Amino acid sequence: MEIQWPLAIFTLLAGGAGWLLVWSCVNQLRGTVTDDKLFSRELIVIAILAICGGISSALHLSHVDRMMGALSHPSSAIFTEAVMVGLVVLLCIVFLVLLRRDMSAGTRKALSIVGIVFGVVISFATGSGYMMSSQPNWNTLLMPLSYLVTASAFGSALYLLFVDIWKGDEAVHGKAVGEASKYALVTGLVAAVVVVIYAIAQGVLSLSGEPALFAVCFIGCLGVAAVGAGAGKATTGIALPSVGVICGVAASLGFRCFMFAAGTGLLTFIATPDAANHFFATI
Amino acid sequence: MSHYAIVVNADLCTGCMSCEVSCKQENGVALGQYWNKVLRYTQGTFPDTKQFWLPTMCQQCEDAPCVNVCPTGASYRNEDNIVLVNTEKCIGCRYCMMACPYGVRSWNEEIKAVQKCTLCNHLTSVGEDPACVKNCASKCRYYGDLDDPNSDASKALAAADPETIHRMKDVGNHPATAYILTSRIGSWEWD
Repeated sequence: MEIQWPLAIFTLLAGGAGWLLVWSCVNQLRGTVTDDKLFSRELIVIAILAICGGISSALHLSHVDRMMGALSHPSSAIFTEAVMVGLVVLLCIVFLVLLRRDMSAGTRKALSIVGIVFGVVISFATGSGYMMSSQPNWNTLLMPLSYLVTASAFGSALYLLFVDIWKGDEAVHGKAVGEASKYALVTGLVAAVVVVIYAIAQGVLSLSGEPALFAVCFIGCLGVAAVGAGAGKATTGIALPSVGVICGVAASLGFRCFMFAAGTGLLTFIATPDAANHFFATI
Repeated sequence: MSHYAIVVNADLCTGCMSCEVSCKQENGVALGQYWNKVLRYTQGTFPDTKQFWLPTMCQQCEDAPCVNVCPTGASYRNEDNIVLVNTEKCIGCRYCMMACPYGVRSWNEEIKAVQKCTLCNHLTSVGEDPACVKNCASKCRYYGDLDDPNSDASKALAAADPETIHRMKDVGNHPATAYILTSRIGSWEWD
């Protein structure tokens, strides 16, 4: 199947926003960095990423004006994804408003837990919609799981960049960078392992053109892990975390492109670009 | 509940493409698009070969994945349980094309919507046969309610050896369209 770029970019941005939200909220729960300015910036970027993802998704549609018709089928994957994007943006707005009003510690913890759940769910939900019996290479839980883990690698790299840029107390900064580095290291390694399991389990690496896309994804995952390992040992400045973000994009976007390329379908009698050639099909 | 579908006797199909042409003519299917397509299959190696023709179209699945994934209800079942597309509701997400196990849906670039075989609903709803059935030169296509033993489709299936009745691979969608193909003519490889 052709790579559906608007959808690939939507899931990249939505997943990245989700996991940046996860780690930002984990930080709120742990209280490592208690700088509300940093948190506010993270929330704004999360909302922007989610909205840009939503816009990208809309570019895939030919009749956005008919989108309200989705209300008639609220169990569809598109509706679920749209709701999750809306909820993430709404949570960011609520957080931002309450940050200005000195929210209580209890409220902060409760919303942080909600944020962690939303972040994990959105990264999974953007992949689970593709689980369909007509696409044997997608119809496995390993597929949305790969969406989740590659989004976590990208989100971890983003979070590491945020924490690294933040200028605060040196000791606190070092501890925060250390934690963010561990997140990047672990999520990068987990993502690399999961995508390899997916590719082997589905036997999709043998298909033409896909090893290159898989390599981009796999190297991206390892790149995030390597940046996590490196950033935790020394103060490196913005360069290394930036490389981590690039690797995160490669990991996440690479997997999504790989997934579309692996969408060979069960049987394709008519809906293929070269349908005319099927007249001469030979089995 | 009714289950309207087409039964194709592939033993009799000569590959004349009358069904394909009449479908395009009746429904105004655009150049390069098909709602019904006849494919030629050759099996074996020379000189021991077999050749037959396989007309393909919407398989009218009982649990249609296209209907399940459509976010706006553009893909739906009408009162006769026939899977149809309301192009006025289609937002062009093409999830249904991804979800169709048989790849028998077409993208209409002009109206930016997905279309497919309607079983010529405008004809069948007033008691006529679909254009492909009416115009089949070798009379190998039969239309009707598979739950009605008196329909042409049911009669064709009843007259056939059960061993020769085939359906496309079922991945939980239960395709209703049936094909009759004896091993003398070719081997069924899609179940």
